[in-house]
Amino acid sequence: MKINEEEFNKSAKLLKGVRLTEAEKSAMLSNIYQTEIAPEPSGVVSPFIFSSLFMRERVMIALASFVLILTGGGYAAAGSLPGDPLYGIKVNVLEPLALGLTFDESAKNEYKIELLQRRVAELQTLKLKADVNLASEEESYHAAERNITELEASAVYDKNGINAEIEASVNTYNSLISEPFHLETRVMKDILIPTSEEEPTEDEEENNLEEILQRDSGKIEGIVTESLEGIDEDIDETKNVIEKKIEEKIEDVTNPITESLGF
Amino acid sequence: MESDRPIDSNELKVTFESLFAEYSDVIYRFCLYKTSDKNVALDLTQDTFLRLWKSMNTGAEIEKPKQYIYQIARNLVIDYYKKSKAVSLDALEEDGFEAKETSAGSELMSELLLLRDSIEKLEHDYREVLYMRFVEDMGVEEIADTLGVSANLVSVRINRGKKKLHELFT
Repeated sequence: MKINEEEFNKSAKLLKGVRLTEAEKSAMLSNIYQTEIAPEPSGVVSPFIFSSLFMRERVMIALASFVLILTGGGYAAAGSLPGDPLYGIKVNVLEPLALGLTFDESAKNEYKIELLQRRVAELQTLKLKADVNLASEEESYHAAERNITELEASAVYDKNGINAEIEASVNTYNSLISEPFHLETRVMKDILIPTSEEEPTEDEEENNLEEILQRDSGKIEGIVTESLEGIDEDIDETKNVIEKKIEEKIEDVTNPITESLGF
Repeated sequence: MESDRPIDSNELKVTFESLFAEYSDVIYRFCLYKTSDKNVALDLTQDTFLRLWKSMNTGAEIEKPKQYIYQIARNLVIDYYKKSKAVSLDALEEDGFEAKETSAGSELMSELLLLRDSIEKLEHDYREVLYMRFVEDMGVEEIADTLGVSANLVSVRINRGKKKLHELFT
């Protein structure tokens, strides 16, 4: 289906005009307020229900359940949250096994991102259950930190060291957890000046320059001050040389006159 | 993060309703664009704000509401496709299925499909940025804030996305 620019703009304009009616808004608000805010989430879809798990994880759950002395521990572990006794099995056994069973690189990355998003969803669920404490935050952080480290080893980051999907998940994760457990995308920190084989556009160059100026303003100021001091010294030296030359010239002119006058 | 301050339900309601007033249309358009189904879009919009309301009731301090609300909506759209085992629109059309038309009107739906068809042909990184730019008329800083990325990156993606989009035009 091909489209031209005019059609594109027309479609965008049409969608811009789409709004909820007042009746729809009122109905929504009324439905929301009527929903009981219970500690156990009822209307919210939990990502830990069995049906939402990947097929390979279902297989792994079956295997792990068998391995875990046929106690059904694998299934329970897959639905566990940070702070639960079986959470360690979920993040240290089931997920790495599921990852190990994924052989395609892009599917592996996709799964790793899913794991990070799952850490976010786990925190959201804990919050809804009002069950957040230091121990659960710490356990969640260690699992998420490992996901990030694995992603950094293989995910595709752009020339600025950013992967929007990972960054969005990290930001949401950080908004849900106490500051000491905030995640960092280290790839971003390590990048100093973007390098690219492509020719940057004028806008990119301007933005990059702005970024460098903001980041290195202290360093730049130091270099400029040092250079200015050097220039001052050069000016003084040049001034002395010129003054000396003028004195010599004046002497050259005045000496013969004084001599001829017999002084 | 949890707040230590006791929750004032009236204050909470006022804050929630102001967020609802400000972002409900935006989220509805986003869901409609992503699902092409008015009823689904209405449900997803309601679920988005229900989740927000629940989070607020647990005492969660939402520092960047727009980013937070968009993230919930995005997750719900993903959940919706996972649950309904929906395949891509292209795959549906190739299989001879017509996109669902709803009371939102066939003209709107066909225009919406045209728009989505163009944007979704681009790489993942450009799609949301271009959607926010062209449909929501959002500025670079606003998009960066919503997506939680740098303004520089958004600016680069808009420029490159526009070029790629022009290449797709007939």
